[in-house]
Amino acid sequence: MPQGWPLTGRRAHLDRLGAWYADRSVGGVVLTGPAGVGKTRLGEEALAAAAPRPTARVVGHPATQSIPLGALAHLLPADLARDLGDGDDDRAALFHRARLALRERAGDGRLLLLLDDADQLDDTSLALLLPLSLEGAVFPIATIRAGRPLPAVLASLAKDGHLVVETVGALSGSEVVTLLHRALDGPVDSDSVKRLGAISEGNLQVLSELVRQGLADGSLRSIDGTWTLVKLPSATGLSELMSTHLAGLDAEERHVVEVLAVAGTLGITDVEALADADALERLEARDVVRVRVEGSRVEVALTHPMYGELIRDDLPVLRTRSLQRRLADRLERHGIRRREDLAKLAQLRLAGGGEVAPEILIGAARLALLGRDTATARAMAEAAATRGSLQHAARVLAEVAVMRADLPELEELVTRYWTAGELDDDTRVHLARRLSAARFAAGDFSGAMDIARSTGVMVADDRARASMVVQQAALLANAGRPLDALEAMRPIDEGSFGWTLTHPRVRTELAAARSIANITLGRYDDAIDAARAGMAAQRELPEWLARRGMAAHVINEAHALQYAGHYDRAEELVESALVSAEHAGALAAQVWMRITLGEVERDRGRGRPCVEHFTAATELAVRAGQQAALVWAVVGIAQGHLLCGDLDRAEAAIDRADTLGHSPVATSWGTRERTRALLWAERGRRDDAVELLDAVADVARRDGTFGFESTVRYDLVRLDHAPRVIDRLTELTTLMQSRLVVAMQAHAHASCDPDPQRWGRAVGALEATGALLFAAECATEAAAWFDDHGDERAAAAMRQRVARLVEEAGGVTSSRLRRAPMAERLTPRERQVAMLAANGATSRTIAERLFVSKRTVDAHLDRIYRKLGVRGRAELGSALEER
Amino acid sequence: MNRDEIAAVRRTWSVAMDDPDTLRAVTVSELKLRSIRATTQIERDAAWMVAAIDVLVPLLHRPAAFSTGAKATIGPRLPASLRELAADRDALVDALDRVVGGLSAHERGAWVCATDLFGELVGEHLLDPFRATASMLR
Repeated sequence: MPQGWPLTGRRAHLDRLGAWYADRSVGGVVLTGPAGVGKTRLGEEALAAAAPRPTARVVGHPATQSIPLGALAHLLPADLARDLGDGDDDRAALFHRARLALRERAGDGRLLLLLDDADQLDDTSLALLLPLSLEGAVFPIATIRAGRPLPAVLASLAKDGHLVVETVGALSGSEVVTLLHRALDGPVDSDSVKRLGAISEGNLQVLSELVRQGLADGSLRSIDGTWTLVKLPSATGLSELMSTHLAGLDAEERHVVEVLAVAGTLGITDVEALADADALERLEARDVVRVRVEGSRVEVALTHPMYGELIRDDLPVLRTRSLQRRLADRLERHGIRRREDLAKLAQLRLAGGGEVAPEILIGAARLALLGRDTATARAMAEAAATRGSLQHAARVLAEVAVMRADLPELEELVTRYWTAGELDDDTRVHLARRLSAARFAAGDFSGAMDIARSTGVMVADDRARASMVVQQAALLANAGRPLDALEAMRPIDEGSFGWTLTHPRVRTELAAARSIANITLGRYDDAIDAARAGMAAQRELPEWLARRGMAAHVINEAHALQYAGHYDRAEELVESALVSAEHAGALAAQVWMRITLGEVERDRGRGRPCVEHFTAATELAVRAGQQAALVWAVVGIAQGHLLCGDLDRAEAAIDRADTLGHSPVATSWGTRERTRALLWAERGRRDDAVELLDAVADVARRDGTFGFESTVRYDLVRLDHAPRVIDRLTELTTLMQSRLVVAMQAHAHASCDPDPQRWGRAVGALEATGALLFAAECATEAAAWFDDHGDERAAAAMRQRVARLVEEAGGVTSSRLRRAPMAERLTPRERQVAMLAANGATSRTIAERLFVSKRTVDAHLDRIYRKLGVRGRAELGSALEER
Repeated sequence: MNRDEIAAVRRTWSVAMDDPDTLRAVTVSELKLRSIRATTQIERDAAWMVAAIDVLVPLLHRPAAFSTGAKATIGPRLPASLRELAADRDALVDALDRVVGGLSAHERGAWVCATDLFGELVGEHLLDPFRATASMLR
């Protein structure tokens, strides 16, 4: 809607915007509709209506679209991007500072932020806004022209239902009547209203241009106090009308419009320095440019983006380059206050010609990287490389390849720069770490180790060498070779790298690798200690880094707790961390947290929640591009379906995991094969299952992945092969720090050499860890043994326990549970009698209360004792409680 | 709005305002039919509506003039919702219909146009979609 015209026909939209702003479950709004329909005006009215609540606006423009933070810079501190490099840590630092700055603007509430022409905002600004919108600090109102693609960040939020999409349409006939009445400040002839409404089709910008032209050429005039259109306009389409409007500008006015079309929004002093001030004033009066006060800055922009589009389409290339050069000169002389301005300068110099220093290009490239704008980052870095800034350019280009998950590009880059032979140690190590990690993620463990090892030999600097050693240790730990990992760390532990170990960053990385190695070895107490040491070292880092790396240590501690059989503690730890990860939009952390929660439920024997967590993990893994985690999560889904007894779905999930290929993560292969074996066992192929489990367990033993080995050996106990594995399980209880493996060994012991006490201890130990399925299976086995030995009472009590455990596990099932006789349930009458007896009523009292004979009550009680496996009234209370 | 419509609005309003007490009373009864407001608020709002329309009707030829006296006209009315304003509008037109002994189709059409305009004029001041007034009060 034209700026000078009163807002008409948009109150319902404003009302909805206000309601969504108040609703904390809505993260923001996308206003979409055709050009000229009044989206920007509606957004601006929302900001005005919300005052004094915190508000701000940013405008997308082609000139600033490839300038990192080009749109958002004016809302952020000038030193936001100070001292930043090109890595993930720097990105975290930038986001942290930006978040603090915008939170400060938001105060206690939500910052209502108009994102005008959101499709032309730079990626860095959008990436910054994503977590802020998710955590509710910012409520964006984004405008976007119908038919244009929504930026990926906003599209994903809209898809998740976090953003509401509101369509702004044409005005109705009665709204056109009211608007013209208000805009012309008097009655309008009915026929004229109809014509203007029909030609404009209710489009505000078209209506405005028609009225402006009509007033200018006298075809719309007041006759006897009524506005009347005496002649139909020659131009009727929006772009045609706007072109006509622009064609009427004189040379000086045209120059102002051209400068703004190329530059986007400019400060008024810049415009006045580049063009004629009187012309600017005339353009404001003609409603072609708008002058707005933003804090202490007075800004000038075209009133409608289509003016800019029409001008740019007509502008000869040389004229555009000349304007870009003049803008760059002006910026260089007067305007550079922040790093984003350097990025703008670099863009203008590259586009308009002229010399630009490589450090400016590298600065711009890094800023682009921080916003994941890989195209801009690459263009800037390559330009910097040709101007001699090889080290920095190589790092930026490596980050670009990593961000794009383009391993061949990274390989080619490393080869190119390696052979150039001009890299310093720091850059060499940086590239080697990136390539090593990328190769590992792609399943190439030996390639990953090769580059880490060869670089470690090649570099001379202590810290660089230490970094390569940590990299190798981490690779070994993650690949399921814990003993080799711990061995690799030895030189650092022994102080071979001098001061390096005092650096908290090295200690966090080392601690993470050590924790993973110990988890794999089943040394869970040591793993927890290492995870906590990692957290402590992490806290010594600057705040933004401390927050970012913490998730890995939390996940390690939770895994150690889980594998040791402390499910509740593991769950509690991860659930609280997951909330933070969701708020921060940390996808990779969320993936592994969901996997941990899925594993906790799996080990408890709760199939349904297990499937839910692993399903959520697969979706997150796809979004985060985490292939290794995806394989893991899909296998987890299969395990959940197995627990529910849904064998077909379990098989389908295993088939899917097979198609996803190999994952280099420790025990990934073993976990999948173990799941396949359990599926075979459930389908009756017990011999095949045992053979496969034996093979998997042997591989685990060879690799030193004892935690996993104990689980697989225990599967053999569950399949009635306890005598074959009892010795190894006993050995594992001494190698590992796990109450779960102790309980597993107790079960194996009871199976091999059964007596009532051993069965009781085994079931009790498994139940105490929360491993409900294992406890239920053990109790089933015990019940059968008691039956065989003529102890019906003990067998019945065990069966009642099985029933309770199965219920607690949400109806878990397995072939052993299905084969066993079920616990006999009490009839409603028996339960009534049992409750009265447990509360101390005599048989006579119960008989009187229930109007039956005492003999009938006693008969009920006999059956109740048998079913519950109790000796008499004294044990009834606890037995009933258990049920 | 064209001149005929403005004339129709002014003419019927003048007739209704011959007995403003009756107009207010009928407006109250119409509001009661379509509003969940408290009775005391209905009476206050009906009185405000009659007073506000009396200011607005003479401004139909120059609606921009409303902005100068808007604050005094809006006066005691509390921030309203869109639903309330829509109910106000329907109640007023039906009250006029009853008081003047039946509006013609042309007159009713003219009043709908006029109340659209009035709604936009007072809406700017009465609607508070972001509860900004409430936040200031707090």
